[in-house]
Amino acid sequence: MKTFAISGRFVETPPPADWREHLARMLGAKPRRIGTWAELGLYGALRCMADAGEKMLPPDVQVWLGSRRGTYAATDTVLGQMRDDLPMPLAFLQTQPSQLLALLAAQLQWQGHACFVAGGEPGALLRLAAAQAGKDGILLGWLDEMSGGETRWLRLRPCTEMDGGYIAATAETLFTAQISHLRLSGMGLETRRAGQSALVQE
Amino acid sequence: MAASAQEKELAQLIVTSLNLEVSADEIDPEAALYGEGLGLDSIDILELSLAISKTYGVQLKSDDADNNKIFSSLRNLNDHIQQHRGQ
Amino acid sequence: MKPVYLAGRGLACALGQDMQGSLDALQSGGVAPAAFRLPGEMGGSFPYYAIAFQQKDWNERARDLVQRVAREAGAQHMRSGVLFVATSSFDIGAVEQGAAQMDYDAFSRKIAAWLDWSGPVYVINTACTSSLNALIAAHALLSAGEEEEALVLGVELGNRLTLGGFAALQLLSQHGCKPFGQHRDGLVLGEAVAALKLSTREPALWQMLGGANVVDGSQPTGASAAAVASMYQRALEASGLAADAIDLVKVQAAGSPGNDAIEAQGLRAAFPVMPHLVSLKTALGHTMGASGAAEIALLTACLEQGIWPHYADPVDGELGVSLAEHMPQSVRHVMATILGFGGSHATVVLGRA
Repeated sequence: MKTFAISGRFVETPPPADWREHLARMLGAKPRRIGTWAELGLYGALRCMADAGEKMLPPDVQVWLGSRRGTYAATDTVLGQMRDDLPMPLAFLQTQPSQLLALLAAQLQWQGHACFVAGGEPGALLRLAAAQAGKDGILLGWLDEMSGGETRWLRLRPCTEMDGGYIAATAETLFTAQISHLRLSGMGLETRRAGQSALVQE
Repeated sequence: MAASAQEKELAQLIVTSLNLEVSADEIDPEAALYGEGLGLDSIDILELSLAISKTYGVQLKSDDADNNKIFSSLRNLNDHIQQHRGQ
Repeated sequence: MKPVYLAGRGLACALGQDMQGSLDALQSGGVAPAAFRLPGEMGGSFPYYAIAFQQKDWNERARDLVQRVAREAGAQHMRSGVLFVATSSFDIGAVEQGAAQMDYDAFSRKIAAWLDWSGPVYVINTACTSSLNALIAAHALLSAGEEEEALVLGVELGNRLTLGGFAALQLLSQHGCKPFGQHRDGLVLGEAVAALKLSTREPALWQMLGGANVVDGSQPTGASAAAVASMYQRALEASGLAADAIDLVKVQAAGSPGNDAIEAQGLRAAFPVMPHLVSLKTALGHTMGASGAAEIALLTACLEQGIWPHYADPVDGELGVSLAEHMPQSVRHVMATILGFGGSHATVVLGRA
């Protein structure tokens, strides 16, 4: 059984109209060549870290990113460019969803384990992440740019369980604001609401 | 020396294809494109090379020994393109 | 931690459409790559290690290859296990033919249907390191006892997007693949479908001991020497081995002028005494997301049968590393490394019983 405390959360579905300006302020400059999908991912990841009170990621944290539709828009653009010529290099880079992981690493000057899982649902992503997570926990993101966009992130830290109060949960409730802890066991995913009883963080 | 019409056209291609914040007429034709100056890096040069090949039909390879000279300024880049156009 | 065994493997690649065919072709000197033409001023003809299986319809061809390779790995008896599909290009070849929509879940369901799979399916895409990251994820589930069997299926099949993108980034050679070579001038891409069956209940000759993946974004399309060294360090820790316990490292060495030099630098930093090195890129080409699974399948079979790749171009003396010309004797611990495009550096540690 694995238990995690949620130390940071950021959910916007969809993000507000001025999210790009907010991202530019966090980065110190407007990104010019990474594409909407990666911009939306960076925006959510950095906001989630801010919520967790972290400026840097510790070396042993793992970044797990999932998406239902990923870089479709960039891929569609590139297929259009390729009718009678090579694609534009930056546009091709934008078709690779894992580029976001490298961009996040570069932005934070961080080196570590990061992985993109295509499709499925956030609960499946969490299962893979939890199986590998180390002492510094997980930065978990679920991201889509279609239909207005969604960027949902959790910063999870492993903790020792002291008490009960967990109820069975679905992947859909993973990101809801009242949840303070997550637990994965043979029973599947369970969550616990904030303020129900004390847990000791490792 | 002020930018020629051809140089202005190339400057516009650079700004558009690289999504730069500066406007085309702010690019000094003799200032460096790499590093200081316009601040382009190797990925920008790849992007620009392909944009130039599509627009002017001129090949610019990343392993060309003359690249430092070709990409040293807007003026040198334009001269290179005009020399090799339509070959 | 339960021991995780490599209980089956299957491979279709430019060398052949099954493992024995591939080994036979490699023993008789390998195969010459086919050619792939790309349009445009910066296009042209590029060598490409295609699978010699003629079938115009992308979906039909993929289905046939996936079914064949999974069967070769013994997947027919494990359909309730966990399936990892590792790919950088999904079914984009079918999208190009108008025979699929871009849809991750539809792709995942399609592969599961081809294999009549009833267990969970995860699709991993970390570009070139996809298969190794799938192996690392599968190893975590199995060693913790959450699952008993996993199939890691690497799929990288012909499409214009990948080749066009690599050509646009000027990463491709127009001449051939020269790992660590004096005359190396770029990558040669290839197709592969490869399957590795992992099991905790079926002891086998090879065991997966651990692995590590390190993402470093400092070089947008290349590797970083510090990340290479850190990756080896983390993988050794994860598998409980010291650097001098490693007998052989299957390196990336895809023939890229810059990246091969960075990789050599990282190897020298990680290993005070250099293990034997081997590259399989002259045998398979760089098969992207499938490469980790394809190269582990081929390498373990080569070590069992005493077959070894050879390299036409002499190693660049300035790199300070060399490639083993013959199969080293008594290889017990092997690391299999893929360095990716996209700042991803991954390696997996295997032990021979």
